[in-house]
Amino acid sequence: MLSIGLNDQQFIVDGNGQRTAWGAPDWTDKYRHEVDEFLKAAVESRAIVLLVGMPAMRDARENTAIGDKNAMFAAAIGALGDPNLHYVEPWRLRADGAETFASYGPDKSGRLVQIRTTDGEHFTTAGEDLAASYLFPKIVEALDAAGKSLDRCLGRQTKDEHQAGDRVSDDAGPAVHR
Amino acid sequence: MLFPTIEFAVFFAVVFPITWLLNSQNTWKKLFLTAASYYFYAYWRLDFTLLLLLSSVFNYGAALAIDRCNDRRLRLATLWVAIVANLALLVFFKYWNFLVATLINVSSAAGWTVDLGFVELPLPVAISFFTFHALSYIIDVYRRVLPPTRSLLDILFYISFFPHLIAGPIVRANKFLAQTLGPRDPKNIRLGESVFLILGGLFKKVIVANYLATGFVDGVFRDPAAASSLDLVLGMYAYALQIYCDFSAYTDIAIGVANLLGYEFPQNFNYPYRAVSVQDFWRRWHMSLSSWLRDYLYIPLGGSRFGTVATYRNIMITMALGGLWHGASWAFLIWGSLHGAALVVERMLGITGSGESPARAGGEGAPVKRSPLASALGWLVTFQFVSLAWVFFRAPSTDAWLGYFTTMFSGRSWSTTMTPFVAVIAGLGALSHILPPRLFENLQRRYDAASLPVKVAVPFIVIYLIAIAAPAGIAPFIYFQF
Amino acid sequence: MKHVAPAALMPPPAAKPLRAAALVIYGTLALLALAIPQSLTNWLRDMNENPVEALALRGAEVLQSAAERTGVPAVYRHARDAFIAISGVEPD
Repeated sequence: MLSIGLNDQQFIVDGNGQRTAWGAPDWTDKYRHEVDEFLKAAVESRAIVLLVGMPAMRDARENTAIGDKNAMFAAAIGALGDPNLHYVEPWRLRADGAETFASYGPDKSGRLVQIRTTDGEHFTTAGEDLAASYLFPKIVEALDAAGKSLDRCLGRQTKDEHQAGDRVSDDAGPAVHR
Repeated sequence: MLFPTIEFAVFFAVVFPITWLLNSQNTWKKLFLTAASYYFYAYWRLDFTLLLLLSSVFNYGAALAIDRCNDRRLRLATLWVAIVANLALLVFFKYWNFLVATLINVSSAAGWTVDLGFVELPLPVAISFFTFHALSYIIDVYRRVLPPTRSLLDILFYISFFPHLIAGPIVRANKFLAQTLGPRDPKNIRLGESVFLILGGLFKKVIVANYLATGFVDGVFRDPAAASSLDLVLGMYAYALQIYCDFSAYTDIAIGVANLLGYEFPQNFNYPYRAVSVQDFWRRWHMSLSSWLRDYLYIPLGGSRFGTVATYRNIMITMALGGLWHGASWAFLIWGSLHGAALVVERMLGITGSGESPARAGGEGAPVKRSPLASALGWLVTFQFVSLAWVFFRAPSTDAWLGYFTTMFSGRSWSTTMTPFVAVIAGLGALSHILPPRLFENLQRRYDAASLPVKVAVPFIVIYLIAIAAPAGIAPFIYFQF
Repeated sequence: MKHVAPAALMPPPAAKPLRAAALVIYGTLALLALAIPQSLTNWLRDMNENPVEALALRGAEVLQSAAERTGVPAVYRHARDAFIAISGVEPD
């Protein structure tokens, strides 16, 4: 699972060491090419990839930039059409309507806490908890679609194995019950 | 721009010669340094240079207005208007969202609905520092410690001067403005001291603080409940070392850079982890802030002049607000209050700052120096307390502190994820406190007496070695967020 | 015990402190530019192109190729590789 793009507002270095500066006319095409190459490599390795879109940013220019990138990621994954590649819509504070940046939001208990840091980009720990709660079911869904068990991926007994009393080779904890 | 970067090296390489070439034309020099400082600030974010300018102009005018008042009550009222305006700016940018969220949470718990909006604006870098500079100026004018300057340029220069702008030290107006009156004497350049401060600062920040953070501390604090007890103990000490190296590095470099330009800044750290009491700690840690709080908050509140209970109250208020100055969160408020409580307890127990016992009962006789054992015990207790309190400073939430302390004291596991490399880095960082100060003083004297090739070779070799060992990318200094 | 005036214990003031400071600052920067020239070229290449940057980059590239002929920058690269191998930190 990965979320990329915000730190990519800089030069691109290709395999020959050639640099393309941020803002150059061919920067977007080169970036798209890098994304495509990465995703093709993931397809070849049969990895399950969840590329998570970036959430709303405070700075308007950054917000526009990440919106463009999110659209690029979604299009690239859609074009490849591989069942193991998933574009995940970014975490949102508001269930519907236009999403705008909010530095404070309700935690799991409904108390208002700071969820985004003062740089207007990153999550605080409380924010990370919210994002993780949103993303975890997506991971499970992607694994299920690929016929894989989360428990097995974590080196634990699956629920069925636990019930059957089967052993796992790893010294692992209890099964994950969803 | 950050100090340990090529950008700053190029910037300083341009600023240094022009500053000294203009030295005999003081006004032009100040104009140049002010413009350079605004460029330095704009490198972070252009729009906030306007805020810096407006704050400086406002306080320039406020000081003149205060001074013009002959009536005592009008003078005080003018001062209060200026103080409130400065604090309003700070509260708006830094504390508004925190206050709104707190109010909404409290109201919600009481069954009320409060409809207040949040402000989604970037926090101006250094706002806490330049606000405190401005406040020290107008308060000192009110107290007639110094007359208001008629030169707007001097105020612009004082508040924006780039070595201290972003993270201190907090330089008092009366000390700095006296240095702006005429050309600076190049004989005041203390080359050895400045070079050692800058090199030491680079090593502490680039090597010690960065690797402690990325190699160990960040991981431990990210999920304390999942860490071993030993890792949490080591993480606590490692963070204590990290924050000292990070913050003292910045102000050391700032002091060294300012001296190379001909200006004097106050010392900001004096081996704080050698303190034998919490009072002693606050005379060694962020000295420019603690003296500011003493002079502009504690003493105006009454200090120790109105009895024991009032003294304790004043200490608690000063330290709680001092904690809150660092950031808009309960964590900083609790951290400051803990230190306040410790200072109160020390007063109750008659423990003085320097490790001396108070005069014997009846007030007779000179203070008695503590025994080595008592001093060692004082050091041990103080260091443990300060390190434990840092957990509140670093951990991001209530759950995180609770998780940290619960797991640390549970004795759950004594394995560690600290690598030998990080342990070596921590050891090197700790040497900054273990090695006797006279060792560095001797080295500095030898440097000053050495030939020019040696004087060039030493910083080259040190920076070369730092570059070999530096992590890729440099994280901002911790105190930039305050 | 012989009395020694405190001034005798202080280091002599530099004859020309400003000159000494300037030589130390620029001498250090010059040696670093020769010893680690790739830092300058990489830094300039990271910037968005403009005439000043292009001129400075050409100068830095000339400096780098001259320095590479002496073999000095290679010392830094080997030392850095050795440090990364020993310490286990993330490679560049």
